[in-house]
Amino acid sequence: MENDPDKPPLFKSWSGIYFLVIATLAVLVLIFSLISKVYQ
Amino acid sequence: MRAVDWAVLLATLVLIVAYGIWRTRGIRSVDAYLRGGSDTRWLTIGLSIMATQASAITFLSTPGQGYEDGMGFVQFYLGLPIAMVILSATIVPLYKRLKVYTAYEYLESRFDLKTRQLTAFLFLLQRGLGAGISIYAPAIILSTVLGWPLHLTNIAIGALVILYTVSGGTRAVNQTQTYQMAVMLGGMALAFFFVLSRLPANVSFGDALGIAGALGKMKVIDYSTRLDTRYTFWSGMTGGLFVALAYFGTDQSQVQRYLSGASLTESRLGLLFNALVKVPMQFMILLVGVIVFVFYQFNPPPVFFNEAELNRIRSTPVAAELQEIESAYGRAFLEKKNVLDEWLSTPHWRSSSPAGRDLKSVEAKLRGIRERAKDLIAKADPRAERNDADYVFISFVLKHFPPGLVGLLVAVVLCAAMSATAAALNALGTTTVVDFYQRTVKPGASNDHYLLAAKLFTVFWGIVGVLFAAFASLLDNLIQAVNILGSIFYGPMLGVFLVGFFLKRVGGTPVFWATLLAQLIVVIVFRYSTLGFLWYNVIGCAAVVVLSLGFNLKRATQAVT
Repeated sequence: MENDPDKPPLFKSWSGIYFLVIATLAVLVLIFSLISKVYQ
Repeated sequence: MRAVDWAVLLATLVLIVAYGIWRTRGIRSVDAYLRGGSDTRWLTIGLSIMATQASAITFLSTPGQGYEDGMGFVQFYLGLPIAMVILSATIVPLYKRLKVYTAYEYLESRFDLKTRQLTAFLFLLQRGLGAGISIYAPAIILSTVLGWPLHLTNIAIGALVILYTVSGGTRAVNQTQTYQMAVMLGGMALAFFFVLSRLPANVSFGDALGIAGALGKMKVIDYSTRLDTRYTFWSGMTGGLFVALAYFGTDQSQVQRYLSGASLTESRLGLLFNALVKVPMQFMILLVGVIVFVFYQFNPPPVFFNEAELNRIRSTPVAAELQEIESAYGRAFLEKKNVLDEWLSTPHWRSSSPAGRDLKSVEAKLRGIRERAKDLIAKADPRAERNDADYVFISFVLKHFPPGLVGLLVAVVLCAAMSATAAALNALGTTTVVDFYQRTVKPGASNDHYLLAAKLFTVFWGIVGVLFAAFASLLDNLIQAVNILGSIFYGPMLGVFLVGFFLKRVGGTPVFWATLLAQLIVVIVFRYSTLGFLWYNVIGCAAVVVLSLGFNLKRATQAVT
């Protein structure tokens, strides 16, 4: 098991999936900021 | 609760526990017991990680926090996705390569035995107390609102958890957590839609958010840099990041979840699943509390949500004063309802409009009356708990949810209590056996001996948890009590690991003394300052790093001279 190739699904490398996570967080912060502004 | 609620509650709990025990029966090896046989897939790991973090307190206190303070608490979790990425790239490959059972084994290979055991001891201390709170928190609230006997509820939760955790070890914990998490997510989704459906027909979802916003509940992000404000964007991205790094990287109850992965890929994906889902989940749970707040703009709320406490006060000499406060609260509520109707009939997207200002002013009046009621309760019984935030959601569920759904929501709370406690007992038993018993007390014994020892230590920690729960008293807001407790210990624990990873020249003795001193500093800051608790993590971690460097430099200088 430990010798399985360590590759994420759908992405060429782990950097791609890490970028997806950080980009999702950035989008969430943007949405939260907009909500705060619209409903203040 | 009605018979149908009891049926739903008991069926949910018993089926999950029984199925978990049955699926993991016949475990004979220590590896399968402590590391789940290393064959767990990413979705199970991800759900298990989430279930470990989501204690009953999450589902009782978080909506209450949304009701009282709005959406700002979600900022606490903003550092979590970044922490997941950092851990996935650094610590997870290291642990998997070293094939460790606990996070603290790494510290002996990097430093020495005393540093490993000191860090493991700090973990046992804080998680042992945390396990007690995770049993006590739902028990005190459910016993208060449902009239269940407190000690029996404590023992029932503890006994069920001990039963399946001892029986199937890590594999049983992972299996049951998957189903428990499904119940929690499904139950909260149903609750969200049900609360929305109870709003008046002329109030849309947008209107509900508008009302919440006008009354200050929709400030999700706060970019202010005040250090004494507990939840801001910056405290979440720094303190929250440190908490998440420490919790997921060094707390055995979480490390054990991803160490059970079938491969490095599965372990990493499990963590990243949590990174993607956690923030939206917390947002939704807080939003449930905010929508309950909006519901109570159209329906009279109780002046104090812990009605058992309120009823006790009604039989004391201050009963007449309480009645007067409740009447004033009722009149202020009607006044606010009129203002709200006016606000809804005019363009109201700006809370600075005249109607918006009126709404805020009458809301402040209601808050003032609520504070008077709390003062009166404290005056009548100085031991009474003034904070009723933890009772907001459960009291709403019991009063307004249909039969069946009440049982499901109580099951959500108990599933969460059991999942968090099971992971804690599993980790406490594992750390005691691997880092102390096997390493120092009885090295070189057989597989069967350590398997039995792991089971006995799990029972021991379960009993400690139940006993602590029996003697604990209600602490401020429960979720904050748990987070504060974690923050006191996590900073120094994370500091040890960071020194291990990045300061290759620092040896065991400097980091050992630095950790002890840093822990003392954090306790002093906690005791004597008003600093937001998230900063304890930063201070503890930074203190270990700086003091380790200092002590190391001193040793190097002494060696040269």
